Amino acid sequence: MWVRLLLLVCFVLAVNAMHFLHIHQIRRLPFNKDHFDALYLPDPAFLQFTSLGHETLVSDFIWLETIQYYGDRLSKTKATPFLYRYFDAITTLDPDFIGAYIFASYVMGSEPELRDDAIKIIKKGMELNPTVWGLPYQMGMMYHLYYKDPEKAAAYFEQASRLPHAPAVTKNLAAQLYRKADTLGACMVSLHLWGENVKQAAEKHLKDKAERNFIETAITCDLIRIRQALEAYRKRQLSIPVKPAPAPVYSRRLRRYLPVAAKPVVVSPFPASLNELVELGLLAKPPLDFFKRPYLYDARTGKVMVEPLPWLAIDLKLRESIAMPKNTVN
Amino acid sequence: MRSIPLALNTLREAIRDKILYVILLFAIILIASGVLLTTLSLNQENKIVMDLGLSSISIFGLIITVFVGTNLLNKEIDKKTIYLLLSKPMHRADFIMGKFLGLSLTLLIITLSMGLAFYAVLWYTSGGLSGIMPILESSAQALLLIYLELVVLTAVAVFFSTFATPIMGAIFTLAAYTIGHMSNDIVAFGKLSKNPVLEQISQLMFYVLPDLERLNLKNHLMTSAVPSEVLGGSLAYGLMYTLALLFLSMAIFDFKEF
Repeated sequence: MWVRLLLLVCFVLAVNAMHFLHIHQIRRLPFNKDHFDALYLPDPAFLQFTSLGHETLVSDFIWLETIQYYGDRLSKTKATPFLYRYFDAITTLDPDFIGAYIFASYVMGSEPELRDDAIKIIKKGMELNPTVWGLPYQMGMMYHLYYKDPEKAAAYFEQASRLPHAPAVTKNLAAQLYRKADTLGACMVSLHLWGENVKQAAEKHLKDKAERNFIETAITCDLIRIRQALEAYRKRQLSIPVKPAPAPVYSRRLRRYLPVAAKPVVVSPFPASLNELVELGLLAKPPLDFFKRPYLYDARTGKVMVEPLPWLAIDLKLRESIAMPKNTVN
Repeated sequence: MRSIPLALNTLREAIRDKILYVILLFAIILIASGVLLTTLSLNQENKIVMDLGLSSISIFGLIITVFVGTNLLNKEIDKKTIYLLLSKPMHRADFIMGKFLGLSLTLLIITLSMGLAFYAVLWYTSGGLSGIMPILESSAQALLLIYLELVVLTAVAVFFSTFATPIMGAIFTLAAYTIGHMSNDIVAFGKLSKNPVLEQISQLMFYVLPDLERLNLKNHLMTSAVPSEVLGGSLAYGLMYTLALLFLSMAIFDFKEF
């Protein structure tokens, strides 16, 4: 009898203790219900260890969960702070899940606060799948669209273009963005890529387009080179000390200062012609464009232009440096 | 050769078991449920169907192996039919071999049935044969190694059933499955501990327990098929491990007194 009573008391105490602990646990949980998602997603390494050879299946379930999470937050216009955690878990469990990396770059890349995490996910994908062209391509897109860094974007597009099954557009994008980067090094890479495109183009219209781009890039590189030389010239001129005008001489006989014949020497920041740059060693040879025509140079403004091309320039930036045709009536 | 009739009898016995059909039905339903999940998968239909299908085959195969395999010997002992069998001109090793081969044959039929269901679902979701062809070789390799994993686990179950009760045998077999899939992590943990004794123990566990991750290609399906030497190595490893366990089971069973 006493034993049964003791068992009953123990049972009641155990139920009470369990209830108290349960309530205590619930109170300790974050108040914001959105935070529950993260609580239910353990560390990826732990998931990998406990999935017992079914990593890809667990990864699929988290993928489905991620889509629901993202869709739900999107429809309620709420923030998605745990997206990185979800994608990290998916890609840790299944490193070959290319769709997850690409989806991550779209949905996280469009959110400024998640952008750096999106880069981390794609970088992880690139390390784990070094032969998949889609990942460096996506990285290039991120730097092009969101970070506005044409040189870095071009480097990723170029990396993508070297991988198996990469479409020709990757090389074209790399070449265009290198040209857009507006540095001589990037421009030379662009020129090289357009040269490869000319050689590899299978169809005539593609070859023609690649050739035009090649010529425009060659001109862009020349213009960058000339502008750099002009800048070096300007700095050189500014470093020459200005010769002061001689002090006026006082004439005792005339009882006044005599007028000074020599005026202070004014140094022009621009050379008289582009050949002066060659003479000073700032340019290797007198610059000629692809059609062996000299570049048009205005010594007063230091502006360099190019003679009109036989076609309307594809590169919008280059169009600004093309002189008006002589027979154009304004 | 004397174990063949026993193997066929074990197969017949297993086929008559209704529970097997229930498990098989559940497996096929789960494989087919991949079709429903594809609507939520955002362009990952094939991947979801493949992962779910192959994992279902593996998990349900494991359930059958554990619950049938650990009961194989004890059923004969409990029903006292073993006396009848061993009184015949039959060696105890033949008995073990016959039981093992019978269950392996049963598992082959079950794996093939589930494999057919898997390819049927894949054919439906990928829109025909053209969707299956790129992954046919890699998925066939994965299926082959799933079957081999089940054969290894059958040998493990038979081994434990020679000296343990069915429940204990089931627990031990499940533990072997769990550790078998964690063996690489256990070695890594041993190395991380920087303790030479722990390191040696983890290495010993790695060599003694089956390395089931060697027989797991499910996680590499979306990429190309593995080279034939890797597949051959895995097959040889699985078969050798099975043989070694069977010889050990035969030796233990030979000493057993009824």
